Amino acid sequence: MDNLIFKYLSNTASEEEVTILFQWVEASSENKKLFIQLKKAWVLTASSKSETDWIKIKNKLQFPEPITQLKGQKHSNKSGKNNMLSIVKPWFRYAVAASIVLLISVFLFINKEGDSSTELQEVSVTNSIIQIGTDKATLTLEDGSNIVLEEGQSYSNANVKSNGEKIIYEKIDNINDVSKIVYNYLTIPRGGQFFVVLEDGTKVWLNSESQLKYPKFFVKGETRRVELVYGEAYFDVSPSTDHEGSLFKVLTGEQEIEVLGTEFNVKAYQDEAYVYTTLVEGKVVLDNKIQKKTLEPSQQSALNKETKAVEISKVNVATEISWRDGFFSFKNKSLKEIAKVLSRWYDVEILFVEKSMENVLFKGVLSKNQDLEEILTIIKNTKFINAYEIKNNAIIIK
Amino acid sequence: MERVLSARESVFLRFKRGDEVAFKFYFDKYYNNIVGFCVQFLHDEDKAKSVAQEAFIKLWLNREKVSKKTGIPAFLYTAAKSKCLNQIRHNKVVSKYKDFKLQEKEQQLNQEVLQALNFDSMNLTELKETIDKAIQDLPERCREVFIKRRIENKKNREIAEELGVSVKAVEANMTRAIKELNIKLAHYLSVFL
Repeated sequence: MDNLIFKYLSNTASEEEVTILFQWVEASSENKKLFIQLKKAWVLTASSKSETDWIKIKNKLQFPEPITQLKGQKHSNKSGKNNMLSIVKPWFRYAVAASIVLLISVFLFINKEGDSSTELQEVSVTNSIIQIGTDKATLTLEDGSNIVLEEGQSYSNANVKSNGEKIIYEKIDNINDVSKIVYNYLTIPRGGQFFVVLEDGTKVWLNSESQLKYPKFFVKGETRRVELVYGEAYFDVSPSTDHEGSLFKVLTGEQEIEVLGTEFNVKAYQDEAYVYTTLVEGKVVLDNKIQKKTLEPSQQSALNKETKAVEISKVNVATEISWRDGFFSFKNKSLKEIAKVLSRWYDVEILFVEKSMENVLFKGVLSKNQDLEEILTIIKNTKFINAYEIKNNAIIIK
Repeated sequence: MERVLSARESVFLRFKRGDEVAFKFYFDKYYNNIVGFCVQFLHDEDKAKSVAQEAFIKLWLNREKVSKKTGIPAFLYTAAKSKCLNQIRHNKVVSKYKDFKLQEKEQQLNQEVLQALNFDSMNLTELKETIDKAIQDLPERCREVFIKRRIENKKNREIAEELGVSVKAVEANMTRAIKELNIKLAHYLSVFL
């Protein structure tokens, strides 16, 4: 009979079968209870694959204030297709109080209404197994053993606790012996992100494809040292004044960041030419052994890994750290750079058939909690790319 | 553990403060689930969408009353539940069965199911994960067929065409999927809910 229930739930039972099922359901309260339980589970886990109707909601509600600017922008040395901007302009006025997310949805919407017939040829998907990234990490303990942390997996041991979304080291008092220091590693795979609170209370948000090395506890009075082995991390450092003046240092392969108590973002991916450090609050000193630089809030330093040259510029902090809050925020970023960010979060390879496409600049905010295909559709609908193809874990932009 | 603000909690606070992008985050996260939920009772995708949209609008207008992030799905499902119940009570639901008695019986059972749902005490995330995992564990073809039927609402014939197999093969895979899920989930669900 259980089989019949599932058949009914999945809409594959014939009318005769449903009649039999309902008779069975009414036959006893036990039966009914089981039926109701199974249907409850079924409806709660149901989903649909509808295109997003965000615009419909948006139209019915008044949002209080502008959140982001919006613009899709063609690289300047390319002619033609400049009408993109003129298409956008009338919307601009309307959309002053909206985000690119909305604008993008509008494009999506109009295009869907217009020519859904041609869409099929422009998009081809084979064996797609692309999933949205989630909270996950591997914790490597001092004895070399690995523990997988992900949603639904909790872990606790001595002063360490994790609920699968974050890991927290509780404070240990009175450790005075430097030789007792042991290190743990937190490794975030592609398609992952994680959050850790170190033993001194410093909070670290880790982005996809990152690794942090840190002591299980800090020694009183000694400089606190952690290492961003690779990847991107946002640090909210517990102030030195709470730790008898102990400095906090973040090492990356190419530079050392010395802080007193502050918030900043470090991006040091192995496949990128620069190490970016963005200061949100407070003060940090950057040292790459050739030169020392001090950053002020809202400043970003870009260290060229090869030449060791450092360039400091003013940036929009919110854009730089939006990954931490569940968004991708791009401000005049090339499609190539955007592809890099997307490929880490969705764990895919993104390839361009025509190299010139890599240089098209985009601006906008996207939610990290949507399918990659939605984002690809959005990009496709700007008309800067003609088509895309998904094959296993690779996306080919045409 | 509670004192620390994780990324998710910070999105929640932004939502509470009236941040549209944070609201969109939850929309992306839950919209398809709420539509899917409503379809099970209303048997009509358009009606389901409009009920789901109303639920989201209600959520936005009442965001100050939501006290924690797990309250968001609970709020949305509760709103969808009462809308679905209303539609059934006012006979606005079109049944898929020809037999009138069968229609009536189904509407009555659906009302009982809806009334039995209490979203305040339920761990939706855990439940969803368990079922998702069971679906993931199905043999590949089975899973494909099952997802196309269940989530994309496709007919056996359409699925057969897409996959380039016979309708019989689709049916066989569907039966197998149902059997496997049944074995894996029946016990768990009976103790869980």
